[in-house]
Amino acid sequence: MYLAVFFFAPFAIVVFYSLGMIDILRHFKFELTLSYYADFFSSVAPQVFGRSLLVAFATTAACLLLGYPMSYYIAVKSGRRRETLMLLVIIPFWVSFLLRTYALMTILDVNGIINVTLLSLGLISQPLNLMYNMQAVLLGMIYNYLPFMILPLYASMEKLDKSLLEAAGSLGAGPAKSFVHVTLPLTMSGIGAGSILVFVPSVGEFIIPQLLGGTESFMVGNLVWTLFLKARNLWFGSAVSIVLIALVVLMVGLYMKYVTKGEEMAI
Amino acid sequence: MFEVELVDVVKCFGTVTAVDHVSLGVRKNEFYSFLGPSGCGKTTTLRIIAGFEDPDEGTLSIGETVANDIPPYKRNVGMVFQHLALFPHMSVFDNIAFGLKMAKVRKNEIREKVERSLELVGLPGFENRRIHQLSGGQQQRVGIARAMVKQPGVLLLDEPLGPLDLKIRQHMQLELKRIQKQVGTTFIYVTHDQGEALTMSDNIAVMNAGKVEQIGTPREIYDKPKTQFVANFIGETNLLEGKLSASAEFACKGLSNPVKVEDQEQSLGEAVLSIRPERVGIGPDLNGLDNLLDAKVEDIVYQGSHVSVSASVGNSLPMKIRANPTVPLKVGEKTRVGWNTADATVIRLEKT
Repeated sequence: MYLAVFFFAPFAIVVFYSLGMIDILRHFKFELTLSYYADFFSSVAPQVFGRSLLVAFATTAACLLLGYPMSYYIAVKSGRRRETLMLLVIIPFWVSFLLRTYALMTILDVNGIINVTLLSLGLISQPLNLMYNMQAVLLGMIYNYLPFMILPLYASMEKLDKSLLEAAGSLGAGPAKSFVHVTLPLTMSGIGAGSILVFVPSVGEFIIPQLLGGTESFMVGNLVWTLFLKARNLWFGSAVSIVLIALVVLMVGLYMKYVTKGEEMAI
Repeated sequence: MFEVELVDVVKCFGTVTAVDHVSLGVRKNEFYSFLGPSGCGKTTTLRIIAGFEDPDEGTLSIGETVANDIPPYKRNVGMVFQHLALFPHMSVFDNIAFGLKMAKVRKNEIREKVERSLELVGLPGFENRRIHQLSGGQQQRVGIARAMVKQPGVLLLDEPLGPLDLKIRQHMQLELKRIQKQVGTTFIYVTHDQGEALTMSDNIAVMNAGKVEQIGTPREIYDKPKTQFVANFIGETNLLEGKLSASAEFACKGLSNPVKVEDQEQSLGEAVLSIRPERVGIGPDLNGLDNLLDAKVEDIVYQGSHVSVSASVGNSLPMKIRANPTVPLKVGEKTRVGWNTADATVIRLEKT
């Protein structure tokens, strides 16, 4: 019931709008058309989509590369140390997502901590442009999504029996080979879950590019937001949303099929 | 001349000394057991040999070389883990082939060797099973096959039969012994089960609180325990307190006259006398033994192959005796107990 009202109903409305429903409130009117989807390809949308996907990929890859060693480090610690480190990972969640992004702005701003410090040390003579570009967006995305990668990774590593690595060692596998043949395959579920948790929201992210990005980092999320709330073009906005959802579902499906299939067999 | 030798090895975890100046030597192709209660340092000692722990002091030699600084994957040592540690994401074949693949053995040779090792442990045709499809005993065999397939010079076994139930355990004990004889590898076996150690081992090192209490063949350990701990831990025994009053006399607390013991090199001093219950004779007409004492039967428990008798000897010194069920005994009756000096061991107490 809850799902029906708050998930399927809005979803259905968006689908109808994208297919040409004129008005739902005053006089119900529906003209089936695919013209909004046709518009999609003649607009800037494909380019924006490409950019979003690229940023989402980069964010996911960076979170994985940073998160994997971090979770491993936490997982091999014992007792108190481990709890403290996990707490440090979780603490950012206590602060609102928006506030965290604003906090990042105070660091990167022209009058932010980095610029002020460097200026006062005389290392630079003019403030650096750290904000309103792609780098700032990526930094913001990685910063905000890293915990979503660490948590599932940590869960899968904690389950990993350390004696398996010893067994690999006693069978002649050095640290690198043990990692490739034992650790990596057995933490695949964590890698899969973490990547999806980071990738899916990254594709549709609009607050971070809105706050930290410039024109060059205009994302799908921003596009949809602009179409719905600024241009009031509900129909095209709906079409873009549907394409986004379809694309994400497709990619996650492919990912689960090819990347994490080994793990499913082991369970 | 030793395949594995430890000299004065020490290992501490924080303030706890897990292994306290352990020295021992394992000969090629022998079945050697570390026996002791949990927490005695036997597993830590084994892990030092495997290379999973670095000794804080002392030297470890494997073959002719000092192995202290050789990482585990470069030692020619196989290990069977207590909790198996089979790779859950691999088939039986891949588990066993793992070590060979690491050594870059040719494919068809791997297939051949895996097949042969599965035959050795009695699981032919199990190559394609997944680990979770196997029973505990079968997993154990895969663990053994995996550790043995590379034909390591030394095979370490960390209580490998611990999780199995009694029937399979006893069967696997014999299997292990057979496999060891068949392949002729040095086995180092960790166990807290004295029965297991006695049946399987060529030599046993009894450990307690990080120290080696005694090293010897199962017979030596059982018949001639050198410390009170060993006498108590291995089988049942009567430990009589007292002191040596002459070179072949032991003044026992609770007895008015000293009992005869074998000639001691050092006379005098505090000691305990260890006598196994099955080496003590009992019966009203007992004679011809070196020591003969009056006693009273306090309790009899029938146990099929024998009866366990509790008797009070002399002035109420309690003794356990394992007697033949055909001996006529009644609770409360006066009787006689006796033993030969060769069946009792004098254990000198350490000066404190």
